[in-house]
Amino acid sequence: MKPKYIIGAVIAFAVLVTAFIVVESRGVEYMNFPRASESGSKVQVAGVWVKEKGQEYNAASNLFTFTMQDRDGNTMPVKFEGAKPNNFEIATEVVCTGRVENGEFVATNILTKCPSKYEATSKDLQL
Amino acid sequence: MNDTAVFNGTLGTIAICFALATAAISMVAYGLMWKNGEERFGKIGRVGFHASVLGFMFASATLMFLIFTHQFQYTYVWQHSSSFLSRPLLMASFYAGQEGSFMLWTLLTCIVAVFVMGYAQRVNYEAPVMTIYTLVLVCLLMILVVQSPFETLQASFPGEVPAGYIPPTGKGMNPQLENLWITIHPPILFMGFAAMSVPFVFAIAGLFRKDFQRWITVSLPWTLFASMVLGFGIMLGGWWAYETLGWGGFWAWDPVENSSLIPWLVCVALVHTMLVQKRTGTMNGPNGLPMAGGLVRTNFVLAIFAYALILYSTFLTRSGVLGDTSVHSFVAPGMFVYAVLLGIIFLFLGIGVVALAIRWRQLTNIAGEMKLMSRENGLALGSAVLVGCSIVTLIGTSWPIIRPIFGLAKKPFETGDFNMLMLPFGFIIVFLNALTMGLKWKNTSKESFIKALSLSTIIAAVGTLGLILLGIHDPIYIALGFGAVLALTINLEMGWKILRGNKSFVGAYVSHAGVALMMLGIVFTARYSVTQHVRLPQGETKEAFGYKMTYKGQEQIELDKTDREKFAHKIEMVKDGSSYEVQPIIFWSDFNKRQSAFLEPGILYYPTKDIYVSPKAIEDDGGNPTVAMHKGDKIPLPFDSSITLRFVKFEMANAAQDGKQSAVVEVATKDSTFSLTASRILEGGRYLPVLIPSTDISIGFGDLRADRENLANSEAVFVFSSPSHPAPPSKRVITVDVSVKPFISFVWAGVIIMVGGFFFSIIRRWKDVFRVVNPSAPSPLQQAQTQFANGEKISNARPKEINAGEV
Repeated sequence: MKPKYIIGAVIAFAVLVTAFIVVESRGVEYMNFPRASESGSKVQVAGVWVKEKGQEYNAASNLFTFTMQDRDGNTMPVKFEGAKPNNFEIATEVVCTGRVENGEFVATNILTKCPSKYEATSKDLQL
Repeated sequence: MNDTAVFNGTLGTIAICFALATAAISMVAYGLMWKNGEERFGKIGRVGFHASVLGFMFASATLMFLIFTHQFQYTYVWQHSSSFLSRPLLMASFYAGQEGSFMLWTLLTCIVAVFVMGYAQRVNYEAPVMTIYTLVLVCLLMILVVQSPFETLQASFPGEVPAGYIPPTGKGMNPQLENLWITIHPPILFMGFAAMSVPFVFAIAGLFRKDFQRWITVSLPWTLFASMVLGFGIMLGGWWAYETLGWGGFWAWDPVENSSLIPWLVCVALVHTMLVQKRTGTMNGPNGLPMAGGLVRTNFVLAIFAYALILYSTFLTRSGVLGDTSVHSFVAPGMFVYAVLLGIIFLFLGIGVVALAIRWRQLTNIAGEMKLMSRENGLALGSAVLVGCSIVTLIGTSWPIIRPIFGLAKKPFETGDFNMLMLPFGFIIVFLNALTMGLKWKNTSKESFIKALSLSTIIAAVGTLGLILLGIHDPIYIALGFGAVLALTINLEMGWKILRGNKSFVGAYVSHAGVALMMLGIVFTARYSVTQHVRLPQGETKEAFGYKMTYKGQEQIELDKTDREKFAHKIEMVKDGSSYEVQPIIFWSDFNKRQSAFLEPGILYYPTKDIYVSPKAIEDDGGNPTVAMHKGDKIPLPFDSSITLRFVKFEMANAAQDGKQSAVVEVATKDSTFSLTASRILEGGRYLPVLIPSTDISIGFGDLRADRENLANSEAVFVFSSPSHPAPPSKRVITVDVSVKPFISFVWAGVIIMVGGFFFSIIRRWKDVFRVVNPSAPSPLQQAQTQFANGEKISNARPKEINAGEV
């Protein structure tokens, strides 16, 4: 091993570690609504849309609102500046990124997870 | 149906098993030939291999036939195609699902293998190369034996499907995927995957045969081919996402995209390190034997890891491990396939690492220390940066798997994280691209380096001023822009000189100019795109980015397809007296039971920017309020939220006799709960409003949104009216996001130019190979030197251009 390789490896390693520390400090963790309210910082919450409570996209104010139930069963209204995400109604799960403000989850991003075709079951056969 | 045909599922399964068995026989025979050098084993190997390829082609033809003849009794055909699909889309449903995409990968690997066999014979590499290549085939075929596309419904859902049942149609394809791109993007991508196996196989063969130099020359054209095809395939995916899927950009750092990018970056790095070794080594050393050049170990490592990363990407996107953190849904294909995929990765990585470890100490080179100011050093640094990009992308994409290993919560990388981490790499890439062009092999004097770069630097400085005038202000982006323009101009300058000398050397300059152009496009689109949210009532004019936008109305398209309702929304855009029209598309499809709309953007293309109009919602403003409800849904009554309304059921029993459909609702006021029946007349679709007692609100059964696959899931649309709340006149309103994306055309143009550069390089390196096979032919370098020596006054020193051209 020549010294220059070792130096190169150390520098590369240091750069990578620094970069990932930065990402880690920016990154957002998955949690439920009560913990999100406590932390007050940007987090991700996964859950489902509570259909009974409805959903609304107000095109004039460009606000999409709905009520979400997280994986642990806690519910909270969600507000998102933007249009209703594609396939929102048929999503099997919704993942919202954002923070809790005044008892409301203000989302900056919503991921909708759609039922995949791979999951077709015999129910789809209409026997 | 067609039970007697030659093509049926049973024979398809048999054909796959036959292909597996013959590939295994071929592998053993080739292995024996390799060990003993006996030609009789070679014969068995060749026959076995051809039998395997033919068997697999028969299996592929069978699947294609089953899809085209709509044999929905097969689970795969039922899940991924339907009788509504056009021919090109039926062809695409061959690889729309998990099993089929493995079929396509294997099929393309077979086709590549046929060429590789002939090639390996010519370069005297047949036995070792084919032993390993047939092992690759055996592994892919094993996956298909486990995950067969020929499974019948009865086998998929045992006990639930009566014998002989054939569904009337299939579930079809996601309508968002139904366009030209799905017929070309996946095959090209998988072609790249298949081609990547060639450098791997030659690397392993080289390690075993103690050929540390010649394998480089022999596999270089294939490495270039894999880079070209995979790169082009990745770009097509980006274009597809941008143009049709409406992702808004060309790259979203989604695992599916990353998983092809990761091996591609390593493959491109490998191209560069192979060039260093090829150039610094020799085929004709002191004792007449080849001597390895610099980076001999790096090349083996990269060739092995490039293929391992292809396999790892497949694992990432097929095994369901990223299911939580991507917009794509990945579904676990079952523990066994999961284990097989992991097993294959470890098998190939294991073979590579063990072979490498055994030979490690013998892997020495004659190149000596690289000088800082040498072209080989520039190439090596460039490769290191590309590998760095690949590692960062790999770690980022795998982050949701890595964190839980350390007992931490899952946390995915976001687009912003990737962008931030890649920015420094972008810097290094553009400047390395530019500066390395000024370097010569072995060493470069300061004077010649400065001289080589001076003209381009001046041009780039002027170009950068132009960028600033175009509105680029951040110092970081000005610097990046300068680097990209510098790289572009120096490549054009040198490429131009080469074109007047030996044209076959031009590939590298073309592709590097393409990369520079692409970087320029990426940086400015990513940084300077702007978006405005616009709500356009029909007939009214609104302004965005200087365009006067008017929504002219909708037109239904694709009327021949009854499984969807698709509307093009015409928006007129007027600027500086010129009028354009964009047509974003909104459609509803049976695929998702028409529950939510699919959206496609409308785009105005200019050389320096795109105007990207992305539809968000279409609604009727004004008129009486309407609400769509499923059975059992409960809502507060419009106009009076103290009353709740529940949709109980449809009443269709007498629809055929009296031509009326009815819906029963339950109304709950503060003090009582009662049922009402609202009806609509089928002819003309008129509804009969029913007054809700003790209010002035009437409810009407306005429409029925039938769900064909599951009638119970159909929706009733109720219309509410109240004399005390007169309705405003109804108007269609489309809501769109309008974006200006500067220089995005540079991204596409850059990639296409880069791909073209790869193409020229392949031609050149292909000719190199056959000089290795037939050493008496003169090299283009010698030819060029002769040309220069004869045609020009230069007699002694090697002309600068030619030196530069040797990349």
